[in-house]
Amino acid sequence: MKILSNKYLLFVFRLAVGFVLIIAAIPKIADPSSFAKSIEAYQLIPTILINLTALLIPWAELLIGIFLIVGVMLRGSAILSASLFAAFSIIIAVSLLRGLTIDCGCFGPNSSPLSWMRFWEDIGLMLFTILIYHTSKNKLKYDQKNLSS
Amino acid sequence: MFGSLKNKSTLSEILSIVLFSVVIALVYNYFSGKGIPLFKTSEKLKVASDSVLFSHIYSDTATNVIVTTDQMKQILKTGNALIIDARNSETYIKGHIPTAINIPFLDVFNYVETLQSVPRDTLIIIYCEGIHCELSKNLSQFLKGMNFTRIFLYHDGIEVWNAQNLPLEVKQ
Repeated sequence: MKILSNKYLLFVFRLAVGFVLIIAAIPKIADPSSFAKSIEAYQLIPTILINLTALLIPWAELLIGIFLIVGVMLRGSAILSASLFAAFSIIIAVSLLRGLTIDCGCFGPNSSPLSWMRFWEDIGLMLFTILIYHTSKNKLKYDQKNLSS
Repeated sequence: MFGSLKNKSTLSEILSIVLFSVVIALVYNYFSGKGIPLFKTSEKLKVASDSVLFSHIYSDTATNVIVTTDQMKQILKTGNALIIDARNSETYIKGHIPTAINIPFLDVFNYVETLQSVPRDTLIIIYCEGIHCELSKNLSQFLKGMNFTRIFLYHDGIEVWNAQNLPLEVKQ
């Protein structure tokens, strides 16, 4: 387990998750209308909220991605990132179980069809971010201990 | 003590990121040329009149004109339309509207050669899963770009077709 708290390995995790989030965000920011259509195809969000979701999620992904790479607001970014990946995994699983044959919309319009592969990718990324959160939490504990002594 | 401090600072980080995302998203959407309305309203769809559908009149290429399930049954009886299933081939094989051919929108470029040989004034009906499915609309736009002039959507899709226990064709 000690290897998982290795600072270099964790930096690689932060880079990997950060880049995935940034790469996913850019096409959606460039074409919010198409992303809104992708969200609509999942049939999970009320029509009135589709555009707001399509506008907010890509910017949240972009900011979280940048913050994870740079190391700013790391715990907040890690929690939000893990929440996003958890939500995406649930949405993908539910949609696959409902037998929907739609485009994933994960990396912008017409990126790839919905598949269990995408589900496991999101689960993997969620685990990475949980690990990042725990490590940064422990680091904070350590810093506070030093501060109080 | 440090626990609450830690939780407070994590919470403030989360709120800052969310707030920052909201502000940037709204500002960018306002100034960007590709901005969208903040609240989506339901799409207004035009149902094809029988006179347009069953005579040789060109359809409106600017909007999506839909056919009802009753009109679909009529079209199947007359047999003078090219019915296209825009879903992926796995779902098409499991069951599709009789006589429909499969052109999965996500692989549409593999079918361009086949489509080139189809007369441009052929009556084309496209469908996919149901009312929330975008594949038929996307394929319709693609075909309009290829200058097909009589394209209609069976907007209710296979969901309503199945719900009404209408016949399905299964590819062996």
